[in-house]
Amino acid sequence: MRFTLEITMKNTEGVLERILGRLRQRSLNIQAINASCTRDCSNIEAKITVESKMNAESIMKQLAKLYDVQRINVFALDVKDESSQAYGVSSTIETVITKLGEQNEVCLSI
Amino acid sequence: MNGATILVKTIEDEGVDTIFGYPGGAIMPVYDALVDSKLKHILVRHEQAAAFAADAYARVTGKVGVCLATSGPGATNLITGIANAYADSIPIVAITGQVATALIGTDAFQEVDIYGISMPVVKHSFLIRDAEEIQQTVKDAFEIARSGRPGPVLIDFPKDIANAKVKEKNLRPAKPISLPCFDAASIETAKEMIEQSHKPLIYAGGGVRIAQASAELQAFAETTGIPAVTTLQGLGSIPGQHNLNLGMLGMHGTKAANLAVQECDLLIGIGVRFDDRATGMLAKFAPDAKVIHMDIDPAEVGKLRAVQCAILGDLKLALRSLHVKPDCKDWQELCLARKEEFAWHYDAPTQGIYAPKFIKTLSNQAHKNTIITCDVGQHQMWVAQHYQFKNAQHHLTSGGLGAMGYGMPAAIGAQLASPDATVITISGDGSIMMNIQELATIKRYNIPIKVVVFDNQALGMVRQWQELFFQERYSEVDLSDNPDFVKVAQAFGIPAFRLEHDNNMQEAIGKINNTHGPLFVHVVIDPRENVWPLVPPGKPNCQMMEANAQ
Repeated sequence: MRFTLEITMKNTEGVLERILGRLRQRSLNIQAINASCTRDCSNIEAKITVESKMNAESIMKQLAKLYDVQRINVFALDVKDESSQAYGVSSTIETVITKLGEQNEVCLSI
Repeated sequence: MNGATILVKTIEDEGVDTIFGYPGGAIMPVYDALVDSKLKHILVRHEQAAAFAADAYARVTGKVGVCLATSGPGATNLITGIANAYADSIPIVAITGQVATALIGTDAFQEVDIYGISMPVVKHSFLIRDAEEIQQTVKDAFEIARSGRPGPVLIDFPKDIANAKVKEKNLRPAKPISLPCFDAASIETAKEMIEQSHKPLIYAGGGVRIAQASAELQAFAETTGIPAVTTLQGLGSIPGQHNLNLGMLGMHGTKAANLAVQECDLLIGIGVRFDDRATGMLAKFAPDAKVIHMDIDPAEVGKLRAVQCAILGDLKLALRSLHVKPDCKDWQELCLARKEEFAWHYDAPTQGIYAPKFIKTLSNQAHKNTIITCDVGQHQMWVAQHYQFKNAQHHLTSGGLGAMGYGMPAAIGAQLASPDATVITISGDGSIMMNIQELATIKRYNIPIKVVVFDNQALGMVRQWQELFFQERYSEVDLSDNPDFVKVAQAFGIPAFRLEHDNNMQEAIGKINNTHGPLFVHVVIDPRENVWPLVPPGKPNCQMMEANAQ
C-alpha cells in the first residue's frame, strides 16, 4: 500500500530525523517527501509518501507517539478510482489523529 | 547560580533522592554541583550499570530513575540501559554531559552525537542549547518519562550551558501529555463479550505493574472467575500462588497456560503487547479467540493482532468497570485440572544442585519483602517458572531487550530504592561477567545484596539451542575456564561460598535469607540441564518440547 502522511510537528532539533527514523525502523519505504517551516518557524509541515505493508492506522499511531508530532493525516493512494491517485489527493481519507495537549486527550477518528 | 546547579536542584524538586552515575570531563560541572546537593549519588563502575540501576529504582519505587554520565564513551555506555528501559517501558531520565555548544559538530574530544544515537531507543530527548531552558526541560523530561506508557528520556547537557550563570525561575507546570481515555461504549462492548464467552482467559502483562493495577486485576479475575496467564513482565501482577493463575505463557510457559491460550474463545489482553516470546507463531496464537485489548498505548492495539474491542486508558479504572459474570465454570475447571496435572516436579535428577528446586525452595522460604533481579538466560527462565511472585514489583528482569548484565546493577538500584527488602540477584556464569565490576559498588556502599550465580560452565541458553536446533554443533558457548567466582567475590571484599551438593542447599538458602550485608553464592549446576518446556522459535504455543521427549 502507498500512503501519504501529512504531519505537523514542532520545529525542534532533529525532529525530521525522528520521523524518518521511525519510518525506517518500521520498514516503510519513502517515495516522496516535502517539508517546510510554517511562517513563524514554530512548526514544520511535512508531506511524506510511503510504501508500506503496515496499515495506515498503525503508521499513524506509531508517529503520533512522538512527542513533537502534533497532527497527522493519512491518505491512502492506491485506490481503484484512478482520478484520485494524484499525489496528495485521495477520496479515501483513512485516518486523522490530532494531539490536543491542553485538553489532555487524543482524538481518533477512523 | 550556574546551569549545573539549576539542573541538580530541579532534579531534587522532582522528588528524586538517589541517582546513579560516573563522572568525566564534560559532566564535571554537574558533579561539582552534587557536592552541595542533598541527592545521594551512587558511583557505579561502568555507565551501563548506572542506567540499569536507575531502571530498577524506577521499577521498585514507581518514580523516575535518574542516571548520569559524561559525553562520548560515558554516554554511549548508557545506551544498552536506555534501550532496556525503552523495551520494558520504564521511566528513566538519562543525563549526559556534552562538549561545549561551540564545539558540537567539530569532532571534539569525547564528542559523540548521543542525541542522534539514542533517538530510536528514547521516548523523547533534549539537547539544551540555552541555560534559561534547563529548568523547564528537566521538568518536561520527568513528565514525559512517567506519563502514559513510561519510557526513557535523554537530556544532553553541554558543558558551557552547565557553567552559564542563570537565575532560578518560577516554572509553568510541565506540559500536559496527551493520554487516551476509554469511553463507556468500549466498556459495554467488552462486558458483552465477556458475558457471552464460555472460555475466557486473562492475558496480563507488564502494563499491570506499571499501572499499579494488580489489586484490580486480582479482583477482576476473582469476580468473573476467569483464569489468568501472565507474561514474563506480568509475573506477580496476579500472585503466583493464586488459584486462578495458570502461570507464564509462551516459549518457556507452563503447559496449562499455553493450552488455555490455544483453546480460549475470548482473550483479554491487559497491559500486553503480543510479544513473540509470548505468542509463538502469531498466526496460530489463540486461534479461536476474540480479543479485548486493554492498554494505555494506542499504538499497541492492532499492531500484531486484530482486536474486537480496544479499551485505551488507565487499567485500574478499566478493570474496575468490567465486573460481570460469564458462564465459564466448566472451562475454569478444565484449566485448573490441567494446572494440577501439569504441575512442576522437583525430583532432583542429580546429587548436585537442581536449579529449579533451588529456586522453588528459595521462593517458599523467602521473606515476604524479597525482590528478585535476574540476568538473561536459562536461570532467568527458571526463576520465571519456579519462583512464585506475590507482587509484580518484586520481579525485576530484562524482558524486551534481554540484556545480560542487568541483574546485579538492578539489584543495587532495587536495594537503594527499598532498603528494608531482601534483594537477591539470580544470575548465570555468563551474565554475571557482563557487570562483575559492580561488586565494587556493592562493597563501597555495603549494599546487602545476595548474589546467586548458577554456574553450568556454559552460555546455557545458547548451548541449549545449539543442542536442539543446530545439531549439537556447539559454537563458542564453553565457559569451563571461568574464574574462581568465590575468589573473585572475596577479592572485592564480599563474603562468598560455593554450593555443590543438594544436601547443603537448605543451609545455603538459610544463609541467603538471614545474612546481614552482601553475600555471594557460587552454585555449581549440571551443564547438561535445559529449560523445559520449550516452544521452538516460530512454532505455535501448542507445540511444546518437553524434557522426557528428549
